[in-house]
Amino acid sequence: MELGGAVVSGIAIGSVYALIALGFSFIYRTTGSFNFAQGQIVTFGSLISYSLYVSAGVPALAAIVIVAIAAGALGAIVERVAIWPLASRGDDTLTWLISTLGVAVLITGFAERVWGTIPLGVPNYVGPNVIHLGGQINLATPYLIGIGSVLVAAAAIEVSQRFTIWGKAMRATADNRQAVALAGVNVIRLGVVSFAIGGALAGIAGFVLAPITFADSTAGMSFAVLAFAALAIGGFASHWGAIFGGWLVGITESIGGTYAGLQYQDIFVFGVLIVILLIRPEGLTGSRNVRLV
Amino acid sequence: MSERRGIAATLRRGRWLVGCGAVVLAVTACGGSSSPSSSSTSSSSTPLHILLVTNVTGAGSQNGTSNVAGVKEAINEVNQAGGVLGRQLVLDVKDDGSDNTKDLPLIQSATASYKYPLVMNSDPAAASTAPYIARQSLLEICGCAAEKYAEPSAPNPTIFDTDYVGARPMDAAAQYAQSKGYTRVAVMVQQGEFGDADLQALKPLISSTGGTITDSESLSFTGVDFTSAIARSRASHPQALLTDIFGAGDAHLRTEIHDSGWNIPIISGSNDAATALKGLVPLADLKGQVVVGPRSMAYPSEPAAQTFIDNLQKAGVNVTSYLYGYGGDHDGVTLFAWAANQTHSLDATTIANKLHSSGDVAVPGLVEGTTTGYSATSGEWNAASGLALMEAGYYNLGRLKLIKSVSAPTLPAGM
Repeated sequence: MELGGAVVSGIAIGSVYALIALGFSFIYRTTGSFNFAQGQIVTFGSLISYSLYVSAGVPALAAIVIVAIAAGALGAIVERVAIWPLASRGDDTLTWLISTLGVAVLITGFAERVWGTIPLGVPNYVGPNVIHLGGQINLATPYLIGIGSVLVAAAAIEVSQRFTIWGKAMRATADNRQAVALAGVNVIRLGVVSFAIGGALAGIAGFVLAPITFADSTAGMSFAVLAFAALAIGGFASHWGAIFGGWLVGITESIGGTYAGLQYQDIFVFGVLIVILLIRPEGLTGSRNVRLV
Repeated sequence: MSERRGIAATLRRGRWLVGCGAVVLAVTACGGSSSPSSSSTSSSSTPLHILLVTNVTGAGSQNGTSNVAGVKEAINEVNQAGGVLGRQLVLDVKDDGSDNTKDLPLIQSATASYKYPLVMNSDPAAASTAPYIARQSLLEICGCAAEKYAEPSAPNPTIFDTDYVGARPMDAAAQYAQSKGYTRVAVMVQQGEFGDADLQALKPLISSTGGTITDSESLSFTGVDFTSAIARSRASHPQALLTDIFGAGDAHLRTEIHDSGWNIPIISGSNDAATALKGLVPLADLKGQVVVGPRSMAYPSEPAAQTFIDNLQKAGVNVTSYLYGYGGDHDGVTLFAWAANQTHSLDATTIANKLHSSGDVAVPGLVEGTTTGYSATSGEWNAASGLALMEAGYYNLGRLKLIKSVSAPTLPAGM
């Protein structure tokens, strides 16, 4: 029973990590950079959810769409502010790391100014607070939105990469950015789109978390750190890596908390990360680089 | 001719003297405006300055601005009631820019030019300024949360802390649990030094009275999933749960306990507050739960605390942080004014002695408690409708004089 409960809890919170990690993965494979403001966009998503669902009384379905659009727009702004100025002058160093972190600080300051620093309560969007799955295993219903969103996002990415020109272009950019640019594809615009999609996914994660952890202007970074660990475990090369990594981090965290205590759960997660990186540096779903000599 | 020259010389000398006089007057006036005159030499018509050194700007500005707002509200109340010894209070604020090392030199320079009858300073810096304040026999009553730094051998008799911090409220929570006959208790505290202090205080206290801690959990206040900790605690079959988690984590924990269907009396000696739970946890979910602490922790707010919030908002304060931050320093001013008027003195030792010897006297205008609190009588609010509250009372820096006994709120039937 304990193990079953831990796995259910792990998949639930792991789906939130997976959503954020999907955003990281999408952006990385298109632009070769990471958006370290993803955590703040999660926070932004939670706070916008509060404003829409609680303050303005917008229905949940409309609220999640607006949150995704607003967070996507914020993601695009991050790209314009933190990435594009560097990319446009051919800066291929890691300066984007600092610039995205700088934007993260700006977003946090903005959020604190607008929404304050007191956590804001967001009631459950639909149905009872929890679903009883038998025994003492419960699942908070907002997590169902998270699990559903991950599956929908994964399917959408898979379909778009196989059947749409934009999807194919993004996939090709991940393999060889310069070749795609030479073929006439506007890789700069692809970058903006990938940041927007990454932002939208982070915003949805914030929407899911708002009734569970409340909308809190300082809460996002810890989720982003674990989501990044999830991506490293799953592998940077595909969106499936982000999803499997997210679930694995969630389950590991939950099992660690169940059998060793909550104060030790991070040790379990990062222990697993280190072991996997030692054995498979490319992550669980990454392909080994084979160099012929 | 010589007579005219003499008149001209006299006129020139007169103008020179008038000019000198004007300069002297100007310098005197400037000097007077740059520094308030000493409190001990002023007449009853001159205002009485009190000093607040806090973090108005910088990373801790939310704390500092709430301190200033709370003190201003208290000063308004005191002045409307006639002031202190007939003198109107005026607040002098010195901004440490959230650099705690600046508090001591700021206090030193300010008190060098004016004998402030009341000094308050920011929470994290209180430990570093206490020795100077004690040596100078200055009076400090503030929500400075400095008891963890106190040395029992050096109690700093003119320094008072109006905050409820650290393990002391948890002591009272444990006493309350014992008074209800709960001998088997589970404990959930915050990860880190506050939680460690709680556990260190609780273990000997509970075991000395034959009680048992069935399970203890350390939770991150930013944690997401507490279900495993709840399951472990539940499996240890306690009669009550003692908790001390700050802020949103506390609300999150209470929600998860409620959603899990675990019907357990929760008793908190926590520093969380009504403002931390308000809007996060439905009132109905908090029935049977008790918090030991100031009135701002009652949820919904106890009337006096709510009036305080209303007054702050009327004064244009955007109450965005916990009420706790406003109330501690507010009550410092209120207690000072009460004791000074009672003793007809501005002398720090006289006022301190009054506070020490007053027992448990009701002081009008307090928002965090109702009395000086040394004998720790309790108030109870909202026991029937939501989160019940026990007031633990004030304590003096370095001495646990007040939490001697607690009265037990009536829990709803079935608990």
